Amino acid sequence: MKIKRLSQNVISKIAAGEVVTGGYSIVKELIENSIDAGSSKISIEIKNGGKEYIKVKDNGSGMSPDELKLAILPHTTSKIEKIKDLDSISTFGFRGEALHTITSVCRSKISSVEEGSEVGLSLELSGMNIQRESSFSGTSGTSIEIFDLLFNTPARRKFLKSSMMEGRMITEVVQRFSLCYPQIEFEYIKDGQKVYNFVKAVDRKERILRIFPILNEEDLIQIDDFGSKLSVKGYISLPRTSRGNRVGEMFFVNNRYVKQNSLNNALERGYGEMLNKGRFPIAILMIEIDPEQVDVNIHPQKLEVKFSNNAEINEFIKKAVRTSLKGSGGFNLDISHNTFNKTISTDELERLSDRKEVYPEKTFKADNSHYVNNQKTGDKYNGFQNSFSSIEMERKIFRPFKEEKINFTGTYDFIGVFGERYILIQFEKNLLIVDQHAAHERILYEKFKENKTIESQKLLLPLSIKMEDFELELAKDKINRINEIGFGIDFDKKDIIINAIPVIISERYTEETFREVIEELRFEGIEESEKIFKNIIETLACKNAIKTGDVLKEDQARELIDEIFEKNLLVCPHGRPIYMKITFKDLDRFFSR
Amino acid sequence: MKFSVEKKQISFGMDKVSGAVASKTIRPILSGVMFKNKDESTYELISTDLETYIKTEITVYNSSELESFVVEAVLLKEIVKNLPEDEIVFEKDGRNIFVKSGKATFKLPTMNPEEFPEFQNTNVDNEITFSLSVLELMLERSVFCANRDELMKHLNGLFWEYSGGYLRLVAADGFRMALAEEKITKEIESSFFLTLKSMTELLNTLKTSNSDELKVNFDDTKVSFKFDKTTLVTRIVDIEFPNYKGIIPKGFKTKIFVNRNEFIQSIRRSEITARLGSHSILMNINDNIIKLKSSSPEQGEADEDIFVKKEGEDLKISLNPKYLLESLRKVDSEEVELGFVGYNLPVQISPIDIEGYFYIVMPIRLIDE
Repeated sequence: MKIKRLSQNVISKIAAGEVVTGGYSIVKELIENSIDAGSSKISIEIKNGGKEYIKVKDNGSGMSPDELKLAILPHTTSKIEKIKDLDSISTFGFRGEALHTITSVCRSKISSVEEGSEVGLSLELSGMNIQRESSFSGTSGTSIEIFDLLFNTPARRKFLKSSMMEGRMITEVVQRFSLCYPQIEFEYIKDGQKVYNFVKAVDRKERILRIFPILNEEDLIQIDDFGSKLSVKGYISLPRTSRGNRVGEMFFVNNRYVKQNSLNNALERGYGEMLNKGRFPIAILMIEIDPEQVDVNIHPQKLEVKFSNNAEINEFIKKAVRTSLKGSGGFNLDISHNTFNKTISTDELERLSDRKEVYPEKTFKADNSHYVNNQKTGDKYNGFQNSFSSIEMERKIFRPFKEEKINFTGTYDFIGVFGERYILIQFEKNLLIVDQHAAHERILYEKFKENKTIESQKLLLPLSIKMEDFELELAKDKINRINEIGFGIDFDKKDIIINAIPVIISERYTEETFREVIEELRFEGIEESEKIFKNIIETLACKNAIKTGDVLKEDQARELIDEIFEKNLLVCPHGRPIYMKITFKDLDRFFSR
Repeated sequence: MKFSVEKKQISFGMDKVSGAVASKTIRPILSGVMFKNKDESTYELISTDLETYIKTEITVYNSSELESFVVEAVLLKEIVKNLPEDEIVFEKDGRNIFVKSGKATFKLPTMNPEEFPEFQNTNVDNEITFSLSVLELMLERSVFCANRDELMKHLNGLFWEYSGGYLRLVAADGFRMALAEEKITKEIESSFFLTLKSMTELLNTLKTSNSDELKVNFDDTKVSFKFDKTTLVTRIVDIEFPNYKGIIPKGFKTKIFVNRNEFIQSIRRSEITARLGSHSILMNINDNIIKLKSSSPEQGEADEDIFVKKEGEDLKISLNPKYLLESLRKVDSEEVELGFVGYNLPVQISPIDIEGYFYIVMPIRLIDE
């Protein structure tokens, strides 16, 4: 094979792969262009998850007919001129690729009227070829319509996700911009339905409440903190309103949405132990920093940025969050909500909430002790940060348990329960230490698995829960799945009414479990449905199993061991071992007998 | 300070108050029982977990320079139960108290009575007099339905409602509900919610009573129960109890009348295979026969017919045997009536021989056929 110079056509399609990863990336690029053009109103419309149709229309400064024809060529931009400008970028775009690459992979129609002019040019393109040119009269602004996304790169089109997923990702993009620019009007129409119609506002609070219906106004705390090099503004939720995922944590650096784990970690460390493990806050944080201190040119979609002083920024955010939470006094409520025994008097409560070091022993211990080994530094909140990542790991990594298999036949002697955590039994001259949570979790898991459909107990008092728009959509879409798992639901405007729950789960965890099921269902269509079902029953089992710290009576403990024996179970659904075996030999060796 | 007391007196007294002694507490004083001297021959015994307060009286003799003191409750209860003689002598020396009986002597540390919380009494007159044994039955028939999960605050207890000349007790968890009511003589319209824990304490304390007269009083924050020189006061929980009236069926499509004992036996048999698999029993009501069916994938099936009296339509419904049995065992009635509205709707169970009581249970979902 000989080395050849690629044609511009091929180069463009390859480049498009970097920018056009789905409808959402097009919407993002186009909205950015609209904002760069100084628009005060942007309307977005999509059909069928953007695969069929995308339209972004603004009232910005527009382009003259000549500029428009130039704009669709590669590396044309109005935003920078010389290399030095890269060091002080204040606009979104700067590479001059977006419009060109977008139009190269779809059929499109671009119409624009330049500010001050009344006549504009409208171009209809198919790939990079201009099919029709026409003049029209209108007010200033640009409208870009995209038909048949990726029609000329079928291989890539195949990789688009389901319309629902694609649609949701676009919704997320619109949400982010709406939150970032309260002063710009946003209109968002999805499959003919008006989802958002945000009017111009001074503050972003209204929009936050609209986008996260689970929030009440009093759940939000304002953050407004500045240092010598940067400032942080925005809103965070009180710990009592948390979510099972990080989707509600959004960061904008110099008005640009970024996805940066270090910022998530900083935020969560700010909450410290106020959040239960596996729960995440809702936070919309606008970080302003000297453009020279941040490099945005390290990621084609500009999702990641590089700070010249990362640690300092993280520390600043953590402190800002912590201070605001303290100032709000909000977390007092949280403690009384979840963890306290009612026997603590009110004056006791006040005393406790003044100094968080004396949090009720029960919660503090249980959470901390798991992660004690992770605390490498002196920072006492570090353990929690690690605990989050270990939860994520739990789902992904299957740790095979290499241990000789015991054949559970015959009888055992019950010794006792140790530390509200381990059941001790004697079996064939061995001491077996059984983890009560892991054992019960596995038993429940087996039960769910055996019964192909899970029976569903109707609720006396249906439970109404608030969900976000996309979750509602998801629930409507996956109603059969949800029924199969044993939940029964109805819809009431923006609420989901749960009227039946799987027989084996306990009432207390109804809402939590349901939310996790929905969370899991998000992945359907991406992962195999069998795997999703397996994940869901793992979730059900884990949520509803006896927890570490639950006091087991002897007969309950025996029942558990009996079932483990009966079914010969060795590891929990996550692959952790259920028991540990200590032989007489082991003990004798230890005591040098 | 010194006094003597009969073993029976103090043993009964300790039984009465021990219900409210805080078991797991961060304030050690709450694990104690307060001896408060009332007059030369009377001590009040007081215990509290800050939610419920119990106070009772014991008579003492040979007393001199009586003073109040607090001593560890569980310990003292066990000690007095095991002392050899009928006469028990208490003698205080500094911070210690000596408990003597026959040749046995115990030396116990005391706690500062000043630290013990003040007994809280109700201070509005909403008092009604009630038969203690009737209330005891009402409690037993309702409380078992309360949600046992302390985190489910709005269901972890008993709802008291005074309305239209009746006192109504309602308890529910997510799947079932029990309601017991009884006529009262006073015109009171009010309602409040008390914790399951306090209701269990009340039941235990009521069982120690020698008389049948019970006075119930309440104000905005507390409810008091007085009997036998004993007072139990418990805090009202500030929650909103769900609208239980909305759950009660307005009419039935199907009614069956069945012998309670036979029904219990049949369900117990069917439960054996249900327990291992589905947690449900399918009831197929056809003319005057209920066909019970339960099965589990690996453990087999059970089928059984029961003869009943039926009114209304035929019906198929699936129920959790555990919830059926728990309620049927609570009511001492030869025959029970089961009312059905539909296969995915509440079932109401009413004992024929008991007035003012019913139980509602939600079925296991059946998918439309």
